[in-house]
Amino acid sequence: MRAPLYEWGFFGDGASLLVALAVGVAFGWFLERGGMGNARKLAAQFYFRDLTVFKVLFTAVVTAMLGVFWLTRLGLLEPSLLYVPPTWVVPQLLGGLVFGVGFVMGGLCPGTSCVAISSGRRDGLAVLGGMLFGILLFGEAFPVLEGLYSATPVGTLTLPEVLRLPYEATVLLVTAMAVAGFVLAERLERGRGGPVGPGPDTPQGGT
Amino acid sequence: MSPGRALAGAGLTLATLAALSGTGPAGAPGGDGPVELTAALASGAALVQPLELARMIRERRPVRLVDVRDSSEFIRFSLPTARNASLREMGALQPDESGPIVVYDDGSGSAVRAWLLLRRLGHEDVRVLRGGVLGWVEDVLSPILPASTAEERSRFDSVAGLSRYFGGLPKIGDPAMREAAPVRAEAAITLISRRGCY
Repeated sequence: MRAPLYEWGFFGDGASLLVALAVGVAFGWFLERGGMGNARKLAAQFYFRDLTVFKVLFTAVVTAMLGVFWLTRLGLLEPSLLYVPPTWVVPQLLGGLVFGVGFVMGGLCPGTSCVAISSGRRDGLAVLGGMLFGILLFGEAFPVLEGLYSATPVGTLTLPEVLRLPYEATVLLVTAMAVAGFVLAERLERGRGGPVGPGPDTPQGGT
Repeated sequence: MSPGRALAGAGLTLATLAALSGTGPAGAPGGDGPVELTAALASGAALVQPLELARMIRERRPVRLVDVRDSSEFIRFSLPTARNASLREMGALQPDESGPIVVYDDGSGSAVRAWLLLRRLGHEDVRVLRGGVLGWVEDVLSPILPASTAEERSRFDSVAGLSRYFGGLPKIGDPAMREAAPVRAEAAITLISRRGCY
């Protein structure tokens, strides 16, 4: 049996929805356990007081990268069937900027706003409402924004192609960067009084 | 040792082993890498035209035809000499240098996925039937071609002979008629099935 299981036809659309549900529940559970539903904790990221988001997300990147690499090497995964999202430089830079401003203002991103709602935080509901309104607004303004939306396409880019490095060296480089980043993040947190603990906006007293 | 340090150590160990595991595209079991495969797909070199395939079958040239649609659709209608195989069964196809493997679908994209898999599994000569079943119906079973000049008549006769060999119904006319009334694959297949050719 080789992955991706859906692409190889091991299961159909119905089963893939069930798998997506299980993966989503696990993802939400781990985000909540990691404190990602706490807006204070997330906003503290931008002041270098609590770098949990950075650590959680970079850990996920390294875990997925090592998993993909070794599963491929062991013949359990076919990498050419994995979807690599294409890059549009200017719209993605602008989108990232808007996303970042929204993140620091609301203290939550789309995924963590759902996590916050599930643990009873009303600010999560406000962020989700704003996000849905933004999607509606974008849809209505799409005829005007269409030129920008599809500007500067550069196709699918991967780090080994951009850095002109072998895949194997890129894996080591990214992992070393992550570990160095974690060490630096913990030093920064200690220098600013330590990470944000369970705060008054935590409904049941802790996450 | 804290869990964080243990995880960092495990990650660095796996990454170091990755760096020492040899060069080349990660895990490519054989054949070209993603860049070469994408270029081959984009250039159209991976496609075979329905009429070219029809000639190959008629002339008994060695070609392995693989239908990647559902088995129910395959039972209802399939191209002559085709065998039915799902994507997971691609690994069972043995390499054979004598002729190409041609894969086709009904426009769902499965044929391109099968092409990618077969190329990555090391098969050198793999092609996708342009247009899939609908391409076969339009170009081979229900061709519409002009025949007002001698040159056009000669081409029509050649295609019509091929079409009739497979039980098709060639028509003389303007190919633009097709745009006004696109062929319905289901109707064409039903009609041909009733004639007892498949």
